[in-house]
Amino acid sequence: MRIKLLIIDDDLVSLLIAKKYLTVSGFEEIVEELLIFNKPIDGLNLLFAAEKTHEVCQYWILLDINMPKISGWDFLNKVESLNLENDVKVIMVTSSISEEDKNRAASFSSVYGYISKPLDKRKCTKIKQIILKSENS
Amino acid sequence: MSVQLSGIESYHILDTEPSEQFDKLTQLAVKICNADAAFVSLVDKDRQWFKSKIGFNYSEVPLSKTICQYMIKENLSHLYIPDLSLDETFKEYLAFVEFGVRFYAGFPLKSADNSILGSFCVIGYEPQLLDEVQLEFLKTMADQTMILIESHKLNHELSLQAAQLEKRRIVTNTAAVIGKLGGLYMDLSGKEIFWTPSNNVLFNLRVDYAMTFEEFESGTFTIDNSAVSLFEKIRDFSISLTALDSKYSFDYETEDRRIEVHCELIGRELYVVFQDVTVENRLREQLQMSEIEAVRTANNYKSLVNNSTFYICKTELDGRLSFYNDFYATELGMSPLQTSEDAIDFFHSVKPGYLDYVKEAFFKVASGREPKCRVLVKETNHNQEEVANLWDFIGLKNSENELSEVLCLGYDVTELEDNRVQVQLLADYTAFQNKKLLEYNSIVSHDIRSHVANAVGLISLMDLINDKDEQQNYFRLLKREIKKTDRTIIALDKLTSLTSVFESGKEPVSLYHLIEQVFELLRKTKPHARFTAVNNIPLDLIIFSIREYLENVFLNVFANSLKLVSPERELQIEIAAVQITNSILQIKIEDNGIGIDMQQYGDEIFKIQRPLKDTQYGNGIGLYLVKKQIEALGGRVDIQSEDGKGTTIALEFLNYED
Repeated sequence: MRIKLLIIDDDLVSLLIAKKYLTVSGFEEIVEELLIFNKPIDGLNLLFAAEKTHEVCQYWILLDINMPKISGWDFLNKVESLNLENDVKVIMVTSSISEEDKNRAASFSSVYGYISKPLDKRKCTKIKQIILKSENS
Repeated sequence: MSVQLSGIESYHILDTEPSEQFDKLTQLAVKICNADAAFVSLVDKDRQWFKSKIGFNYSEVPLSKTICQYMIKENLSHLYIPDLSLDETFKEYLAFVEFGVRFYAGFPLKSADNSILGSFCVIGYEPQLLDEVQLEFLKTMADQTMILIESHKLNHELSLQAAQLEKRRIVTNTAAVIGKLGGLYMDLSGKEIFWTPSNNVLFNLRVDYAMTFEEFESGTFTIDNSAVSLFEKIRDFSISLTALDSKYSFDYETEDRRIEVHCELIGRELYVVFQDVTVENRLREQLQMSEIEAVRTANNYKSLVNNSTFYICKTELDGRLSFYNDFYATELGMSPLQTSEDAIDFFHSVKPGYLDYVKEAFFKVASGREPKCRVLVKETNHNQEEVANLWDFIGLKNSENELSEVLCLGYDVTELEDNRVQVQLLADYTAFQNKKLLEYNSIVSHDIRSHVANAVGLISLMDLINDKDEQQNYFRLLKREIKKTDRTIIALDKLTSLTSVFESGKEPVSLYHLIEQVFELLRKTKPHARFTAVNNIPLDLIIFSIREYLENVFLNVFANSLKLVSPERELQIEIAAVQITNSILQIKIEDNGIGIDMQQYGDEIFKIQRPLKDTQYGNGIGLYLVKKQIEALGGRVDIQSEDGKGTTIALEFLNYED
């Protein structure tokens, strides 16, 4: 299965850090494409576009929570309500340290992990493990 | 001359006991005349009865053919027969034939009216002659006997009269005791006095005492007790100059009685009535005592019932009032304008919204389903104000143990209810405050945390990367994150300080003028804005608040309205104030702009999504700040809007009416 990894975060610094660590953690090996979005709406549009072309692949999304206009929650609701043809799996990557957010994230069936910022090598390894475990099972 | 035999009954002497007085006469006659027997015979219808007899034992003999009867029939002055055997008439008589009587001498007993009652006789069993003296003696004996008979008759009559008098005395006494009346009548000119015997009973005098006129006139009464003073008083009245045609009444106390004396002098006649009022007086005193007691008890109950704290009333089972206390009457009773008495029922003062609820509870009790029931009712009092009353309905049973009435006890809990509402509102405000704190927590956890996470991430990247230029870039970004963090903390401090307003910062503010100033400011800063302002705030409304905050609040609210102007009409902003409770003032700002789609944005309007970014860039902050500042002032803000029609923003402050 081809895997496309989307990183959605409004914070540019955060995106920079993520991109850097994912690269050094060797994500190219498991991921066909790494896509970075500064605005959640662009991420959504990509998913809609993929739907139209009937492209078959597995989307993994690293999703921030606190974003203007469309929050991480809004994004999740949207994705889950659309019942997309392509399976979308999400790992929350957020600066939030609140238990409430963590529990809320767990209530979404498409959420597979909850990682707190900033990303580092160890956390990237963990994300990799989550993805591999899910894909191999 | 006719002779009457009868009339003997009127002497009441027949069949009486033998009398010594009569017997002495007959004994004497026997002796004087040397006779064998002597007797006094009295003639009844068919017999001859002997009142006295000496010398024989018969008490009576049949009347036919007795010598006595002959004498009486022939109306003889007397009859003297020396020897019956020699007499042609009498030798046939029973006296001679049967009893062997030979000698008879008798004189008739004549009454004053010449009727003959019987005879006085002597007899002998041998022939005998009587001389003149003896005959004269016998006549005298007959006359004496007649006197005795007359005397007996008189005695009898007297004894009858005495008995009757005794009866009357007893009756009078009884009447005096029962009727407790006595009296005295006096004709002062004729010197007559009439003394009612019952007086003797009333004044404990001798039974046979009767006052004489002389006693009264002289003033020396033969009375042996203190009643003398009473009669002296009456006498003084009768001879006083002012007494004529006047009345005089006084009370007199004996040892055991209380007597009312009423005197009246009419001309020369004095009327005095005595009335024993002992029992009446005692009863009156008892009655007065019980009256006082009853009045005291009644007052006690009245003060209990007519308190100024509780409503007490009773109703029929259909809810019609049968009793209510003064407090009910003044607070909830009929107003003077409502005069019809038949229509008043318990529910007349209940607010329409509570009617069904109250009736349900009331009829639960009135139907006997519940013995009692408690409800909280909003009612309209006599001042047309809304009051909250706590009512207990209690079913009352009559003597047949049937439910007959409902007792309603009420307590005015308006103040408590107001307090409860205020407590509820305060609780709401506290909840708001709490929510606000959570929002700060969210700011801290999201915003600061995100900068710090970035900083940590950048530092770790600097370790990871050896390229100098790239490291330099990370260092630059790191500095920026730290600056952002610093700004966030400063902004956060500003926000938190918004909420920690001290009471000392508050001052009296005239809301009307403040709003006018804000409009003035708006017109100066936005000269192109077209709007009409309708300021309905009362001129005398002064609120105790922080002027700068209020100015900001209204500036932001009005600015919000100016952003939402409808292209179809000129903007109008209308402001009004309502004191919702005595502690909460509501200010409504209503505009006719395009409104806000509440369904889409309702929840978002005051929400902090990225509040610090907003403050940084200074847009979209308006309503958020309004909310913060109102909350800082201890109030809250509510927004209502209809898409296309306009927006109403309600600001609520804690503002005590007084």
